[in-house]
Amino acid sequence: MLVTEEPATLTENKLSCGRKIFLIASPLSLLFLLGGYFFCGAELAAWVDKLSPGCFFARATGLKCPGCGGTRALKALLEGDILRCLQFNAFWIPTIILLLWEYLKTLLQWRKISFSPLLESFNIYLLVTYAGLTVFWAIARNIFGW
Amino acid sequence: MNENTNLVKPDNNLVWSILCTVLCCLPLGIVAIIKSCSVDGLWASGQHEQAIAAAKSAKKFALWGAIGWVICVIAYVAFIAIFVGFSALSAESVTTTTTTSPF
Repeated sequence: MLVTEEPATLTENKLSCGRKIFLIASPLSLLFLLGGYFFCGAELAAWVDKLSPGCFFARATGLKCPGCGGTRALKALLEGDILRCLQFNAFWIPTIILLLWEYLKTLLQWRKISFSPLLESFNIYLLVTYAGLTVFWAIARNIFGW
Repeated sequence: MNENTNLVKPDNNLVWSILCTVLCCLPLGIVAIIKSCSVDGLWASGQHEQAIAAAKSAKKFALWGAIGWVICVIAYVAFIAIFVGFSALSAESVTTTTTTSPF
């Protein structure tokens, strides 16, 4: 599926600064979350709850944005309650899948491994689906109260 | 020969768009996600200029979303500080009035 080759001029792509940050910061964030959960989950959850200013968009308009419930979801995650975390904001599921996919893409790009045409097509379909899902989620959660 | 052979595929900035949407709570993040997701498709279909433009737009929207959030936080903190300051001042003046009252 994966094709290792010298990248063609058109697809030659060095890792951008943002991608480098993503490559390093993602495992660190995960370690921070795991460390927080194992060593001081309750304290960290209380700290997150206390410091979060809440959603300004929801306050200003009364509508939910796609990220609304994110802080409560993070708090639930720190308390080890994954189901409650997803109940607060189910948009985390496709988002985490896509972030994992982007991380894999960044790793491959770093190792100068290019996608086969099939995986390239899959990548495009995945991105288009996620974009559609974002718009759907933003509208549907305000209609159905999700 | 393709005239765009020197162009480099742009970063789609999707990660920043997602972070802006999920963390900054502003609709600009949604626009950034849509722009980001279109970058790879445009590039694959040979529309390189449009792909670069979409990547730039995505970055711009994500950045403005983040800046908007920072401005909102600063305004919120300033509002709270002013509110607390006025409350403290008014409480102090009430105490002073009460203690200096001849009645």
